Amino acid sequence: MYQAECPICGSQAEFSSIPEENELINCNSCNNRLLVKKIENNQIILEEAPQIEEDWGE
Amino acid sequence: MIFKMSKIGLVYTILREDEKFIIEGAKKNGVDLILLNTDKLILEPQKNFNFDLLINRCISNFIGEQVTYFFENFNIPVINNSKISNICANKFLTSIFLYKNNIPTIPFLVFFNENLIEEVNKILGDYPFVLKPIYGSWGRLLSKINDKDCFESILEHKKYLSCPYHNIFYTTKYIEKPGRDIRVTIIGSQIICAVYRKNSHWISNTARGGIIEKCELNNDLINLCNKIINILGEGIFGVDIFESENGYLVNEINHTVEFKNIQKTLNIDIGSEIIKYCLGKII
Repeated sequence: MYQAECPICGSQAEFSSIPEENELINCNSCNNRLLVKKIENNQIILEEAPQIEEDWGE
Repeated sequence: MIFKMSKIGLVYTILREDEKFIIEGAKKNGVDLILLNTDKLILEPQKNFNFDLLINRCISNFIGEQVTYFFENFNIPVINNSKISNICANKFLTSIFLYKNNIPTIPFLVFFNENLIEEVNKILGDYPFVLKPIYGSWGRLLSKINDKDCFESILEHKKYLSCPYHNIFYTTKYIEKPGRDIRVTIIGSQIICAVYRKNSHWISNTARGGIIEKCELNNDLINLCNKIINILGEGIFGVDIFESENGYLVNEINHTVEFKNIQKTLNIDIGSEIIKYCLGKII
């Protein structure tokens, strides 16, 4: 099990395997949308998911 | 005989639930899926990309467009191809495509100067109208224009927006809907499913809180979608259809179709279907 700190509420998010960079997740504790920003030596860095850009969509 | 292992690339901006369903689909079908994160991607002609086909899942329309142009020009097929992507990304172009091919759609026009609203009113008839950016999604920056005062006010605001395409005033008639619209998901030349997107708001996108329910496909819907597939070509897209008093009207065609809610509600493995379709395009 891998863990990473939620940058908003500080709780530990858990991953059963190493996620992908730029993977979108929800924090189980504060329910904010987070992005896997960086993975270095199995250390997962999360950041708040970006705001919607003007050309984003389907 | 030696069988070549097929490799499929998936390019993404953000890995959402939709893309994760495609990744799961690849695992189920034994496909080697190569993930390309646009934050790490450099497109340069000397580089060898080790896949046979690319699924474009860029959430950014303009980034996705460049990615498609690059790989198509270096003979790696991209799904969706640039023809489909270009027509679907630009709502004005979608309207022209539908109109020219006698696919029922919403009356539309484009103008560039706010002094023309009286003439626009004469052409489109009675208010309300809908003003949309030619690029955009999820019901973002859509305006329902109820009268001339509202029209003038919105156009004045748009003039001060920084993006040049906000001064392209793409305007359609407002269509009264029965509190829902229809989304048909198409993979290849196959109509996978249809859902109602219910919303008491005039914008029915699920991104705006619309609720999904299964819609039974009838002959009219099937014929309409088959006509689109025949003219637009095979691909992976979502067709948005309004039920008007004059029958079905195609509103939009989406080329980076989102399907997570449909997959979860209807229990159809769309991620796997996408992978199977892509495999068929390689072998």
